[in-house]
Amino acid sequence: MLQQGGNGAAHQATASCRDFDVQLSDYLEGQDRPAVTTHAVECEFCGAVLADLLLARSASAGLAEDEPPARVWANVRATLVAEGLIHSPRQRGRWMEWLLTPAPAAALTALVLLSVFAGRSLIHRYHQTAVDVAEIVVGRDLMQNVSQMEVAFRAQSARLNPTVERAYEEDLASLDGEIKECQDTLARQPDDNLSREYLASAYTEKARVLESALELGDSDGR
Amino acid sequence: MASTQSRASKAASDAELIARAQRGDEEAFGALFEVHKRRVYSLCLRMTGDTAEAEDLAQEAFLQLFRKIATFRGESAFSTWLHRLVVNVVLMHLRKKGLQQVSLDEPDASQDEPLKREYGDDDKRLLHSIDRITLSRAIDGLPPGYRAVLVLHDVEGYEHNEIAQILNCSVGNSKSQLHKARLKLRELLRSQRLPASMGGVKPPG
Repeated sequence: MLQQGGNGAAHQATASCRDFDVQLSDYLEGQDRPAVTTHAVECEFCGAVLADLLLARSASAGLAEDEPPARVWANVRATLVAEGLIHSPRQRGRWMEWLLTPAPAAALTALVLLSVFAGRSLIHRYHQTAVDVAEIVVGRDLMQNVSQMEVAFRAQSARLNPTVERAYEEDLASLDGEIKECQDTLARQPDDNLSREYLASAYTEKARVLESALELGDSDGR
Repeated sequence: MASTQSRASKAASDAELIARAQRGDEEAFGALFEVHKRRVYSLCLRMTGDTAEAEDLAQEAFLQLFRKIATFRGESAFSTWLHRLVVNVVLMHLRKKGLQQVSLDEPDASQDEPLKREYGDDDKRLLHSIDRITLSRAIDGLPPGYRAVLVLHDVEGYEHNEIAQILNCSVGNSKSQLHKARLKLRELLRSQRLPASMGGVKPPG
């Protein structure tokens, strides 16, 4: 049996190669198959196959885990609330209460409308930096509020259970990554509507996460 | 020793969170999600090879988990219970999509294509190192049946008897499919490494 090489060269499979093929699977399953290793040393072709398979198996076992987007939990939580599985939904925190009071809510609404209807031209007109663009898209009030909540969270994060604190830190890091990515994109393409939408969504989510962390810190500290 | 303590500590932490979640404690639901989200999402991602599907399936798995959590009695480790639930959610999804390859006892001609073991003189050893992105992309490129058994065994560490139960096939079939999957994976890794002129796959972007 000829095994064709990539450059046209052919490898002549021997009886030992065929034995190697037959026993390779068992060897990789941890069974004692001395003929496999012996042949792998003698045959360059089969030796390369064995080395590659061992390396791929080892790399597969060490594959790092991926972080799901923050919206997965947001969707799960919303469904749990809708289904009544969460029996005592948390009272709105003071930060969210503040956001929903008439003046900030009206300002936020106005800013959102502004970004939708006039944001593109504003962005073009002023050639804003990434942060300035974010202020137009997200709203200065919300950005400042998130910033204040973040300072408060840092000040009291030691009150949280370390596992929970780490979980919040990972969430916030993930959201900060999304925010930066959107800001970078908007700095290059100010009229990228998808990035603007994601940026606003990431800030809202960050406010929710910080609000949750602050409430938990308050209750744990009492 | 440290690992044993860590596992014991994690189990105790899980048990406390589960008890609170069974009483409807929102913070406990959130904490359980945080603790297990990476493993669940990664398993969904590896099994489907698609981020959007993985998001939906991770979401569905956690919803099923939280809906059923009141029935968890601790006979098995929580992480094992959760893992099995996630695998079932993913397999159900793949079967709904009509991917018969997932059933390993049903022969599928598409998986029996000849496995190439070729190389050139300058290319005897295919791999000296594999980066994560290349490997993930190659795993994503496997046919679903191969991908399922390879992810469960080589990535997630399941034994063949467990895979046989999960995938409803024989132990022998699981072993033979895994071997074919590994050879196919090598072929895909090789094609990603080679320039297009030599039969390689041009990376996206």
